Amino acid sequence: MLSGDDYTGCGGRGDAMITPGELQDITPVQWDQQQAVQSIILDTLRAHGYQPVSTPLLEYASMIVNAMPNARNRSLVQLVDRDHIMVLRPDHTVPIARLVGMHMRNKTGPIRLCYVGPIYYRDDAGACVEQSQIGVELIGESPDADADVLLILTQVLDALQLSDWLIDVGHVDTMASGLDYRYSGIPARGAAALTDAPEALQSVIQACNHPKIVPNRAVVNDVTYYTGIVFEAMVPTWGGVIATGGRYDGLLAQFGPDRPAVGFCLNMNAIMAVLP
Amino acid sequence: MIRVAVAKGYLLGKTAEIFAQLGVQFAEPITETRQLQITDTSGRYTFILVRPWDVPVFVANGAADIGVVGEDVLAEQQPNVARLLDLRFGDCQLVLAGLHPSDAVKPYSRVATKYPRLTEAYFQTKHCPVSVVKLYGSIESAPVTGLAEYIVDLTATGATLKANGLHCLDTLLESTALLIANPVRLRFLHSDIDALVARISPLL
Repeated sequence: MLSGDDYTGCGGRGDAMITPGELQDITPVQWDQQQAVQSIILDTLRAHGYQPVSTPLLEYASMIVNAMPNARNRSLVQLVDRDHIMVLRPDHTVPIARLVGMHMRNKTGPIRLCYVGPIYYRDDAGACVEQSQIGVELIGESPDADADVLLILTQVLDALQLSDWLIDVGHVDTMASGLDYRYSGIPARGAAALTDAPEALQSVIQACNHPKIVPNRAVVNDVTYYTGIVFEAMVPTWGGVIATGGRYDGLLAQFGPDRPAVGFCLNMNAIMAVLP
Repeated sequence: MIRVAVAKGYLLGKTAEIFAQLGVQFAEPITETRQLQITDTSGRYTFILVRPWDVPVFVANGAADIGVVGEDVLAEQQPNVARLLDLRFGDCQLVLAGLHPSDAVKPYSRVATKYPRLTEAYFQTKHCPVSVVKLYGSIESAPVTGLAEYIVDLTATGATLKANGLHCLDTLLESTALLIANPVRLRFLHSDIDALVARISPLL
């Protein structure tokens, strides 16, 4: 039989006093702080009719990789359970699409779901990272609903009293393919980005009619299931995006009835870091 | 204000020359200052002086808005930064070198380098298994001291390779200095950075 000592890693004195990779404990004070912020966000989402759901931390690797072909083995946290390769979920949208296909197959009309929970990936150094996320999925509505979802995101950012946030919106049909602008120039942002923009992007910007929601050709889509608008929220005090989202009209069909969908998620690690 | 991360040394001198042509002046010579952050007399630019390998770290994390860094460092680190402009100075090559000319690399050789990722990728494409020894400097000492049979290192003129009895066997990468930006800061400072790039381009 294995004893505790057999599980001791290469740390020498034992690994009892460290957590793996970049994974962190949450102490009582941090728990209260996180719950307070989560409540603000969830209250805003539930006020718009979004109902919380939860999916397992573990999913079959094949399911995730089929739905997200660019999920690289390098960035997924994998483990073997009996004869299956499993992954710690790297995303909420794919598991929720599966949940809808399995449990809400016959539901008619729009489905509004929200979620809270961690996702996992490996950073460049290979360490396992946990990122807490809160997000929404609006399933069964055409791109006419894109502006509604964007405006809910603005309400969340305002409810958090984040100052000076911006939301940049691009579209998969016209976005830059990467971050190399040496030959193409810096992609247009603002009114100039609407020239020759897809109808879907023009109309969502018009429908939002919000000074902080700006079209931008530089929004990069590294999530392969997006099919329409893709957007990112930012604040001046954080070097990365604090929320991302987009339309993914093909994903639900992989698990059940073909339904259009749009959603976003907030990176709670970043939000907790930027809140005063 | 735009925060510019630049490595002290050659790249800082050349970068300061370009900014001087745009009318950006500093109260003291920027190449000689002991300050690590120095703001120009107009208050429009703050230069953050860091080590070459730390430029992408400052920019990727938004501690600097833009930066000047060699393509070799970007290729090795693959940071999440936007590449705005090839500044066309700081030309150099990342080369494979060894003690004997035109020596085919023997499998299971040791290769000393500051660029483990690029070195591993190169030998994978050559289907040649090697073990990479990561060093932080004085790479050229590795073959003669017996630490490794080969090195992968940056060279501008080849003089240091020659002085250490090394022969260039292959070129992995041609590198110049690039202007980079944090993708999020580029949104907040879009028109300022766009205008800066438009003013620098004709000077190159």
